[in-house]
Amino acid sequence: MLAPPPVREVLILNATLWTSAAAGTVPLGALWIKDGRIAYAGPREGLPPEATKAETIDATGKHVTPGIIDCHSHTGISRGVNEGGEAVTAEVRVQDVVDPDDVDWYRQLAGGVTAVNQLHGSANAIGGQSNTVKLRWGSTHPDAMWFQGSVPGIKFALGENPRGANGSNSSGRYPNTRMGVAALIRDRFLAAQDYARRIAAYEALEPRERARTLPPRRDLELETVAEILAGKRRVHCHSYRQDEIFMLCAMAKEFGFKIGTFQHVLEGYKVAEAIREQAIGASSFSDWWGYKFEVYDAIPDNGAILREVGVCVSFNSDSDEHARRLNTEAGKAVKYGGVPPAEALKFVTINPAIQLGIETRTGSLERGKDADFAIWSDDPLSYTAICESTWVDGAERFSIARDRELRAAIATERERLLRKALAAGAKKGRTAKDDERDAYWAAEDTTEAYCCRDCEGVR
Amino acid sequence: MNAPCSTVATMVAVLAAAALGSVGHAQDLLPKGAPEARAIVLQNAIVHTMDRGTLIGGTVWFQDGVIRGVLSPGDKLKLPEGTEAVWIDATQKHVYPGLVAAHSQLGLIELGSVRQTVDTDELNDQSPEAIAGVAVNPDSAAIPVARSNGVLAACVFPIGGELPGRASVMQLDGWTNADMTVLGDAGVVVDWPSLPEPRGRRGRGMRPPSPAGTPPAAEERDPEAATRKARERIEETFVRAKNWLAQKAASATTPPDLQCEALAAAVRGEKPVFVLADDLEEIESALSFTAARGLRTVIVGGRDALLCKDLLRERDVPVILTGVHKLPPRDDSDYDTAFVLPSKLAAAGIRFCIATGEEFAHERNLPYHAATAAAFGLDRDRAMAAITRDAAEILGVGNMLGTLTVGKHATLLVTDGNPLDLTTKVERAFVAGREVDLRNKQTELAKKYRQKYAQLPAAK
Repeated sequence: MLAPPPVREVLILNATLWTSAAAGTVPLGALWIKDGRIAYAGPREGLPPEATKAETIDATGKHVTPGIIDCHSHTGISRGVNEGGEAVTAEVRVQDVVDPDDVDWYRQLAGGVTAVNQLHGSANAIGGQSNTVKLRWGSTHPDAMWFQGSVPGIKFALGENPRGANGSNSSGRYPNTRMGVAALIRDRFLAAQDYARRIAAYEALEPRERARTLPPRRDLELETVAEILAGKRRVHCHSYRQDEIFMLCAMAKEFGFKIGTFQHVLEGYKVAEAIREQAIGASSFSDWWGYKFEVYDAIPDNGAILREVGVCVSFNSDSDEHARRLNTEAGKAVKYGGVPPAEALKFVTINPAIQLGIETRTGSLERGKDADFAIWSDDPLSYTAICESTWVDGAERFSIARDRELRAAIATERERLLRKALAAGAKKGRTAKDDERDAYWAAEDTTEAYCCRDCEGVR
Repeated sequence: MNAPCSTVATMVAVLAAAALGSVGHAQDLLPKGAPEARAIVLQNAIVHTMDRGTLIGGTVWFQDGVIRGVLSPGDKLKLPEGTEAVWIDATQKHVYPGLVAAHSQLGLIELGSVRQTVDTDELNDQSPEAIAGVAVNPDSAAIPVARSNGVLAACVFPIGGELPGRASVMQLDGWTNADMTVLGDAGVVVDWPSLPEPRGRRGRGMRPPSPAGTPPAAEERDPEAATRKARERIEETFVRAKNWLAQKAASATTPPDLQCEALAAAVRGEKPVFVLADDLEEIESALSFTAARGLRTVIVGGRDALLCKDLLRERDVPVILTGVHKLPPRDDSDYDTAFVLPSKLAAAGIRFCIATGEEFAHERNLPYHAATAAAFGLDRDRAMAAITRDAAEILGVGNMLGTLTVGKHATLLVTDGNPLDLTTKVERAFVAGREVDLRNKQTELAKKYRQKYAQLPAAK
């Protein structure tokens, strides 16, 4: 494996800083990072003198943004995003199946992404527990990616998917309608309330009494749902149509908790006032629509309208590919909804951070926050911009220069494998065409090829 | 400049805008572009001809759906005697040919997951007799959405099987699909069968091996047999069509054959075959098939086109790239493989155009696929050409669409900037000379619900 990059003390000068904070957008700014944190972010004039001792990067003409945060990702979940065997699977945890070696992490770093919300799938009304991670590419242990201090989350899903309406899950499993989805969720909330009461009652017993009483059997599903009701776990709810969004808002009100986010929420613009009241935010797509009936009324002004009404809005990817260009997805809020550029950028920086409960640590360029940021060649909301460098916790995890070096290493390794494959083929006396094809496929998985080389040395 | 009097010209322009801008309601209810008998003159614009450079302060005028004049600032505009004209002052505005979505299912799919609204896939493995254009729904909500961002023509592809049918180039305005048809039979689509994924390749579609002790299944003994058979079936059909044509030429009583008839233009080399192929092996084997049968080939997909660039260049085979916003094909591929592919193809001298790929109803993002290619090395003008001129030429409609040239269709855009820039607004659009409504279902829903929130404080 590659050694993790070092945490550096760096002073980045003269770039346009998109702070996603009160300082707004600072032309010719200064960003000083030290010990993995931001020591200063703002105009050059305010820079403490001791900062000038740091390694200086002249970023004239460049733009620096907070690291992009993707509030809806399925990257790095080892196979099987959906535990769809039951309609309620609150007990399953994405954190148990994190793959730190997924090459898509690296590709997303190359798009300026520094943190994501890994979500369970949408096959069931109450899905599994989500996991917020930082893109600490190069970590060997899955837990090393976990975003310490992030608020625990859980996936909920409304509409066609948990109904099994789209073929993927048409097993005749309850629920089969939006009515059933609502009833099922309510049933589980009531059960969780009851479970929490029994646990509390047991714990409130006098010690002597408790010693003589059988404790309630631990129920991992209800324990998790009870955390929602206690405000300790945020619901991230896959949703599209206004009726289902409204339904969950009403239920949250009844049970007295605040929803984390509505995800997708493509008809959110129809019930923005309900979302404002009952959820921390809405996490949507910029302009996806039309792939199924419940997204037929999706509009690209969704994010803008929700924001106008006062909802905290983020744009997410739900895709390994889209995740690499969330900056321009945010740009679409400028195009379609007339959102001011600095506000649009917040859709992929501080707003998703707020939604995930990590806003005190990341999501903006402010003193004391983690040094999670990206350097762009141009206006980050434009398609002209290329991400040149991405930093997580003060360590540069991607840069174009380093990427060029890695390409050379991969090319060398590919050559070696090709020669090996060709030699093996020659032994079997096959045709040149066979060899060529095998060699082509042999170059398939270099993450593994890297390991191969290392292992060969050990063996 | 060329107007008789600038004040009068401005006044007329304002009136003209009112007359041309149709008064409509929500998307489905919008009338189509109205015919315009008068000449329309777009004056003093930044005219991006896409074949003769950019004319700053140029003029484009058109009548009866056809471009009649494209003038440099110095040229004197002389309308034919007695021509009644609408003068439009386009100072600071840009005029571009309409964008061409070279690969789409617009009008064939309304909702991807609702089978009843998906009209792409005929039952047989081979159905070249199917023509996409006859099934395009002119009132699909997806059409005005694509149009709003400047996509004014699309090549609609049937999907599925070995020979899914024939693609049709449609302009994105018309009361009927006949009105919309630019080229009903653009060419036969060949979905060149892929080899099965090699053993050990991660994740996708591999059958588990037979349990120990049982004889291996046929696919295990010869995993490529099914692919070879499918490819042979395609060859047989083209051979059959050739023989049928020869027989027909010799005898007037030759019985009709719908499939052979469908392949006739391809067999004679009059029309291209659109071969769907991404992998290197697919492209190479497809090209050896089309060369052997004397077919003109367009590769659709072309993910590995760079790996056989010499072959493509030698045979002058153009490529429709189905999307730039794509993940790298292999784990060891550079992260920007798909982003840099257009610029590398350009450097290799291969003809290509850029499409959006199979993402349904995302044609409005066509300019952004091109913009990403430009950010990653493709010349910006060439990127623009890849979604206008080059797309039209590869689809066989280069004589009608793709550039601002006298004699071509007046299918063009008036914008406030370069369409590759996200913030650029398409201000007006003309399809074959008819001004089209740039609103759509989504713009109207946005208006409707902004009304809701405007009402809310009053309700409290």
